Amino acid sequence: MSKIREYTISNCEKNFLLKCLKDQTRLDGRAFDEFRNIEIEFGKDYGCCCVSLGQTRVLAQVTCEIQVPKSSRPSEGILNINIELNPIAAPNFEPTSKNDLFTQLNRTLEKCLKDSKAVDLESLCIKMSEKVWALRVDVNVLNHEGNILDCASIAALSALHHFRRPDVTCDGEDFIIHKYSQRDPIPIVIHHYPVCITYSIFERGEFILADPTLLEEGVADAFLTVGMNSYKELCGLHLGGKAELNPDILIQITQKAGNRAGIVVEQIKKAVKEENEKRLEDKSIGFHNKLCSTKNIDFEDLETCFDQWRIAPKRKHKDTEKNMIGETVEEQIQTENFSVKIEKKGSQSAVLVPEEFEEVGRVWGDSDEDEDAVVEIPKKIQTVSLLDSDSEEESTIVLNANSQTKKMEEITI
Amino acid sequence: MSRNRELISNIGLRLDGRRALELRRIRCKLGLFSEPDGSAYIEQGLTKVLAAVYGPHQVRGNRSKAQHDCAIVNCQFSMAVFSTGERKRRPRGDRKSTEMSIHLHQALIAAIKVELYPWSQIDVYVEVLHADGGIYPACVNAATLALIDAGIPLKEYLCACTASLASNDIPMIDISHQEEIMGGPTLTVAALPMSGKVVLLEMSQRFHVDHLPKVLDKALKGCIDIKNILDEAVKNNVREIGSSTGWASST
Repeated sequence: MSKIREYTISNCEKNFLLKCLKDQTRLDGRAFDEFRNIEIEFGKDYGCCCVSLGQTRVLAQVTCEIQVPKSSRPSEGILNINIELNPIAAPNFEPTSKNDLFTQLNRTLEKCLKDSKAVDLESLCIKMSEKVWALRVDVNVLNHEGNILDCASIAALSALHHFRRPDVTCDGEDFIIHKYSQRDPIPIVIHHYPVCITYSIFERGEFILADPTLLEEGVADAFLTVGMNSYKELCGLHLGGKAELNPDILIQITQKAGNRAGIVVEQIKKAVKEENEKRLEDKSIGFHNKLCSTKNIDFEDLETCFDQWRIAPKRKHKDTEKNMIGETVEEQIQTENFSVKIEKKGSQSAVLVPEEFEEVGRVWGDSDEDEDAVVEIPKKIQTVSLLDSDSEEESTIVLNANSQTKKMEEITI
Repeated sequence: MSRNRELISNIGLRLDGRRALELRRIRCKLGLFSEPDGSAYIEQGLTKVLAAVYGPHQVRGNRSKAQHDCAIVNCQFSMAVFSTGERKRRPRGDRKSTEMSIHLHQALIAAIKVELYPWSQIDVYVEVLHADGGIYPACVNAATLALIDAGIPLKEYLCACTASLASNDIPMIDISHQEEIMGGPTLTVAALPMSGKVVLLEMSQRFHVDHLPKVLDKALKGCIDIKNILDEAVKNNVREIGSSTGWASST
């Protein structure tokens, strides 16, 4: 089987990226120390967690079984962490080969979670030197858009935090493993929550970017990965690459990482808490809700996006118009003024919203009219446009006029 | 924490009688073998490492790896079966040794002037004969000496050193195996000591971020000390070679 080679970054792309950095911009518009959005979702099973960091997606699953402990540590449970790089994530990943990236990811994550003694392994002991729980964290990379490590560390930690093992009791000789239905499963004891935070270093330390994307990773000279928990304790640190760095910069970055770690850990805890509450209330859980709901939003957003650029929008059926009253109003105003701004909505979509529209709203809000009046305005315009002729301009003129003179009510009545 | 306190006694001595900022004895030798282009042997306390360098030569194996603007550096780390307390076969592909090779590679490409040798390859083989803590620094230092022996241009000396934190506030350098297993965090730094730049940083276990500056600072000081020792060894080596060719008497 021929191997697909890694995507090589052309000099053009490289130079462009570096030039952008000199102008203090990043290709995706983030600030230098800004991170991508983290989304944490949980599956139906305990310890199943899907995390996305921007477009990078990772799925983690924790499983447990009973094993004989290591002879050197007879009273401690076993924790194994394994990151899989499948061809799903990127074409150059091979399922079997253990390349450098694979080793590095695994070791760094192991150091961060295992060597820093984040998980209380002694609580996993069932019987000294005979039976202990062995936890296994499998992290599958689903999509590689840079910074797998941060994503994987968040996923692994959330999965461990979410996971519950079955209760075990001992009656003399025998050990009974209770089913989830018989006895409440027991969560894993976690002493502290370490996460990895990666920075990429360009031009020998001149530019330092947080949370690099795939392209940025390819161009970067070096990487600094900081493992840190919410108490600002370092739990593993790695700097590698071909850049030379001043120690002062290093210390600066680690300080910054401390603040970030606090935010991430807070988010993980919140997500797990919400999930557990959902479980208690018997609400529907799992990935499918999320997948279905995002689909709908995307469809609507797309439609509005198209409509905005239509010079003469077609009349819609009354039914659909009733459903999308708010949106039709937006359209009419957008045809007037074409300056629009992009507003984020939903997980992976953006909506174009005219800048003027917001301003008009603000003017109304400031005026003497009550807030209720502002809310009602869309409805009134709707009626006007239906009565009126096809031309958009007239209806919008009415809109502008009514904000100043209060003749609106007369027209609608 | 109580275990940590034992790392350093009340009068400021460590388990093996050193002070907190004292290196173990370093002995080194360049040009051991005739077959490789460069070779070196280093002893840091009881840790003993051999390094051999081949190249720069034509790219072997997968030709497509060759780079048009720089040389590729191939590092291989291995540990002898008798190097640790328990005699154990260590296959070359296991995770820890692969990681070590990667880290060695990362540090070396920052120090070697790779841009001088396009389309070529430099091989660095490192073998640990006796592991007694601080394996990685010993490997880096041995590789530096071997590269110097091979006559490969470096930006400057590449030195590495470990540092730790005893009783939660006293930094100490050059950690031995005994201190490693006693617990306490270990920070490994590979640096270019003359310009004071850090090339590789590696840390395991945990300590508060506020301690990092002082530990890092002491580790860098350790790198400078090591550099002075290596420099002395290199100068001696050059003198020896020079005198054997009658170079010393002519001047």
